[in-house]
Amino acid sequence: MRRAIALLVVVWSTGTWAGTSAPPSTLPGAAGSVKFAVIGDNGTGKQPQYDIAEQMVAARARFPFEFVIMLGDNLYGRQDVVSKFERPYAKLLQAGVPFYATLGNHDDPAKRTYKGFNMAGERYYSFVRGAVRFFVFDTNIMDATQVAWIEATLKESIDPWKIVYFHHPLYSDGDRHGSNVELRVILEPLFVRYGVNVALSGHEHFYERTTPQKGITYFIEGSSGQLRKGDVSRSAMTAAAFDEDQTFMLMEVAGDELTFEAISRTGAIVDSGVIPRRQAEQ
Amino acid sequence: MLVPLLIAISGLVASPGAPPSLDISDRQRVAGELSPDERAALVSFEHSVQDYMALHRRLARLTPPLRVTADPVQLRQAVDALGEAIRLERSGAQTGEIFTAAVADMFRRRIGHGVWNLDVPELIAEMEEDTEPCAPRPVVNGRFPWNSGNVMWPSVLAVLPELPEELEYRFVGADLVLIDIRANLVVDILESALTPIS
Repeated sequence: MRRAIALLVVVWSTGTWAGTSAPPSTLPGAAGSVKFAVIGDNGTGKQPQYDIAEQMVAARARFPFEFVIMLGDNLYGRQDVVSKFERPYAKLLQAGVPFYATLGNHDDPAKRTYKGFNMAGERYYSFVRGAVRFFVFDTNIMDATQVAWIEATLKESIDPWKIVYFHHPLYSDGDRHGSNVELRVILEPLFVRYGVNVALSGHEHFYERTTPQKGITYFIEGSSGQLRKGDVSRSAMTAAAFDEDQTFMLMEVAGDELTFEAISRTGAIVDSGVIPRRQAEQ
Repeated sequence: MLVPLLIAISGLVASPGAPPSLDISDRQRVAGELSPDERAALVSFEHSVQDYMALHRRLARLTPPLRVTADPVQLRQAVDALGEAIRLERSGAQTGEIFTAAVADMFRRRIGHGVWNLDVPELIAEMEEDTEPCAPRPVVNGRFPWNSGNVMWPSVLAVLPELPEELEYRFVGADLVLIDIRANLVVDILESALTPIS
């Protein structure tokens, strides 16, 4: 009897017994805001990917995100869309939630023609949702043609919010890969000049948020299926990091603020915060 | 566009041990300077790629097209059909038919200039760690193993001959692989492509 009471107290106090109760949300849930989820390095087809997918479904009950962005390595190994994408996310797909993918280094580029990834056959593309324009790059092959497209597209955008995402992180505290300095040298000046607010990447198998780098917050969300425990070596640029369990993110853009949560496989909120909109330097 | 891009890379990632006189404009110039043999090798490479693409396009007209589709089976069939057709026509293809000895030498020199400021052994080790245990090594005419660690650096792309959109370069370990991404087929392999420049 005492043990049963003790167990009930533990469950009540933590409120995070997997799947049975949602933590209080920090997201405003404002009418007309842009609400989306973020996953990366997810396509394993294994149980943790399914667990994350279930948490996403549970989260959507309280925070009705409209779409999901995918940060690459969408499918690992045998590039089986059914077992590594359609089945794990079946409930979201049946609810009409679209996914917008970028290519990771383990992705067969032919998958950009798979309709479920909404890439329209392109390696890089952009799309708009409300006040947010998303720019999606292929950092596997960062050639001069793509760089010219990136600059032109960022420059001509008059959207209040600019969010970029691609597979290889420009800033990372990961021991396995670390920051991609070559890409940073090419892309960061464009991001700064043309008013990018937030950049998201995968490739590292953990979650991380940096302190603002030249005014831009960089996120790594590469643990939505994969996980590399203990891979983060915190540094001065680490605002938050979590490498103990798989995660996904929720984001909401409302007015001049972006609110975010990173949620673990057990439903715990491991990071949250608000990012104000920054202006372009041009 | 290309020169400022490469100058930017060189200026900010130069390692202390790099040759002090080899700045990026020098690097591009040296990489771009071709001896008569290298000029002939470049022409040979371009002709080989053109010949391969002529084969690719002829067979692509005879196999199901790759279109945006919600049907993963249709997508796989389009890729596999073209891959199998090319594989059959090139059934005797060997490593080094496109990366001939002369072409390989020219590529290795250019790649050396492209990676002079990168820690090549570290990057090869990183690729190997990123490779799934069951991943096969790339073989000519085989499917490209996407579960292998692979990378292509912008600094190397900038000094290599341009490719048509159906082809890509990727490093797998120290080897440079030429991939037909439309057919998911390894066209050729330049072994030991990553060697530090002396």
